[in-house]
Amino acid sequence: MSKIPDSIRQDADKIKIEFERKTGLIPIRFEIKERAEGYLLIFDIGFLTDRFYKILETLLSNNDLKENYFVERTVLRRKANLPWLNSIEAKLYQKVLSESLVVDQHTFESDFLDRYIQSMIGAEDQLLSKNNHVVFGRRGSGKSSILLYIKHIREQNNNINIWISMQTYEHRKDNLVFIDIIKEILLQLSKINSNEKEIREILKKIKAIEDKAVNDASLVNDENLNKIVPEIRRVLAKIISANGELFIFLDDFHVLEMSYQAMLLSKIYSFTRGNKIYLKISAIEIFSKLFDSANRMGLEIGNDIQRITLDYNLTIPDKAKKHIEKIFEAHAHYCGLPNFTVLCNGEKLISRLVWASAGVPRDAVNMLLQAILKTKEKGKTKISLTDINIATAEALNDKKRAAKIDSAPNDQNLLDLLTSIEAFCLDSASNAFLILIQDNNVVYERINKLIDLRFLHIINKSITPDKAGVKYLALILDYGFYVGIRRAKTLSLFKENLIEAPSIKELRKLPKYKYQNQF
Amino acid sequence: MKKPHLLKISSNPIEMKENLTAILPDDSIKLIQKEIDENAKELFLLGESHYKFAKKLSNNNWRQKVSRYYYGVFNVLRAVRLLSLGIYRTDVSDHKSIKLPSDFPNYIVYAKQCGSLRDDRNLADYDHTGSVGDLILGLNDTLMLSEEIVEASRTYLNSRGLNL
Repeated sequence: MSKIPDSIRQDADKIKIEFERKTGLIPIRFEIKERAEGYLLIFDIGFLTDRFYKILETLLSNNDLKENYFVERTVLRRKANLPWLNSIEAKLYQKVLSESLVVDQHTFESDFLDRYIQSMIGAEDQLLSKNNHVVFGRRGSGKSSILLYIKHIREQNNNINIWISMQTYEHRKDNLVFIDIIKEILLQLSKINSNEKEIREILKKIKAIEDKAVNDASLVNDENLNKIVPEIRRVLAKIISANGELFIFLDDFHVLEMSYQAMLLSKIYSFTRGNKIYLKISAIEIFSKLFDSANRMGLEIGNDIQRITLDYNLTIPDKAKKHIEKIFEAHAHYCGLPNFTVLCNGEKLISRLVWASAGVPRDAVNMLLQAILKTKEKGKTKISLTDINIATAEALNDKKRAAKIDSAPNDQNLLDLLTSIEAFCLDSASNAFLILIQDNNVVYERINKLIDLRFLHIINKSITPDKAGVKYLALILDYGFYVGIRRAKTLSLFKENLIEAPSIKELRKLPKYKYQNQF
Repeated sequence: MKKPHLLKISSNPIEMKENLTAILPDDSIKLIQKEIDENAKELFLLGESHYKFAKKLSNNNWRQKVSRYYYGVFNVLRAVRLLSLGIYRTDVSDHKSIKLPSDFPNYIVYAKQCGSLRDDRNLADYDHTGSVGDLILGLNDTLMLSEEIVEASRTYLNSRGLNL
């Protein structure tokens, strides 16, 4: 082959740099091929998708490249890059998995819809409807993702939305939260609407209340706040009449002080109700109190707001497995990998990941990510079961740390209960067990809290093992508790590698954990 | 193609069939659809025979191999386009831009990859100075791509009532 002229190389470099920047595949594998009709620039990617073609098409249509030799002479080629784990595609996969662990309104920006995997229960259609909704689910179950999906779909249709991350108001219970939320709503609306003058007027009045509160916090009281509500209501009604309806997303509502949640919702509802404004809330149920029945305050589930529960637990492990596989696959394709399985040694790994993560998507993503890191650290080329086990143990430590943040600080009882269950499982040589369903029992409430913190996972919501009418919950202790424990080797891990719901017969045989009052 | 033939009446037999529904009885419309189905099936089988032939050839016959793979893919996709979009052409423009239905898996990627396969076919058939190393896709990648497209087309056509 003749020597490629410098000017041709420079033109190839220009396209290459832009393509790398836009795809995230750095350094891209490429070839300049000489053919009878001239040179051809070829980019090699492990798996081709529309995304790569769209990127290439967009960048080649850029005016700056009008004179570039390769404008009409650049092609994409699918080529495996073995071992996959050391490829640029896998490097990007790690980055993308890591980014997906924290979902906020900016996650994946315009690529979000391409990578979103519909919930197993098809909750999206419900959430798109003009109604108030609360999405409950454990940490990492996809609450924020589903809200973000609704926001993106509505934006595509030019509908107006407000997104408020409640993390900003963590543990707060003062009336200034309401003021801040109103301000946030108005400021976001002012960016998308021309009714700026009226918005500014209300903001001025709010500021006046805030200024007074600098010297006397008690002035931010219901009486003062209630005075501005009719005006807010009126301005919002005017904006909405020109834009259809408004969805307000309140993400991670549970981080607010529980005693204040119903009150805040009551205030928000005072200007949203009957005003074509719909609330879409995400929260962890055990840390939420949306309605205060004693004072008839807040949003009552079933009446004022509809509940959607995203609990991809192990009661439907086959569906949970498919869901997690789809999530892994969507990210893999985005990065140019044929599938995540090319990184793994054997088919069993996905089943183990599903059990270890108890079907919680974010936990599964986190474990896969950690397993990739461990495998690379060891210089191996494929993820093994051992790497997944190590990642599982580390994930448990993360959950323990998170539990300290989420649960009340005086919850030593909760930790003691967990220790007792752990010992029970070791003694009975089973990681699965039954517990009597006893609403209003403090220990049972703590069991539910341990479920929400993902230390325990439901495998059956209601089973009657012996006496009619006496119902039990079937649970498994998190997989992470068994990894690396010598004694745990004697333990029979329930349905360890099988992705199928346990039979009633199997569930009935499980040991029963007895309530101990000290917890 | 010998006369008389349904595909000679209109450039888009599906559109023609739809326009005739107001004039012809249901049985006649069904006959037209049956004829479209039969032609789609034969186009697929033609493509499959090229593909199978290519697969058997030694890599030493890389020119013939690449050429037959291309015609294999081209014809199974013609079957897909006829049955789904009613597109049937015999002129050269049919090779230049392959339009696939949007419900066909990976339709954008496959359409683009067919462009590279066509360039390789041109080199294999016409460029006496070309060598196997000049191919864009290479022989293994061509086999993999052809295999995928033939199987995706079979699944797609079967899902639309063809028994392949």
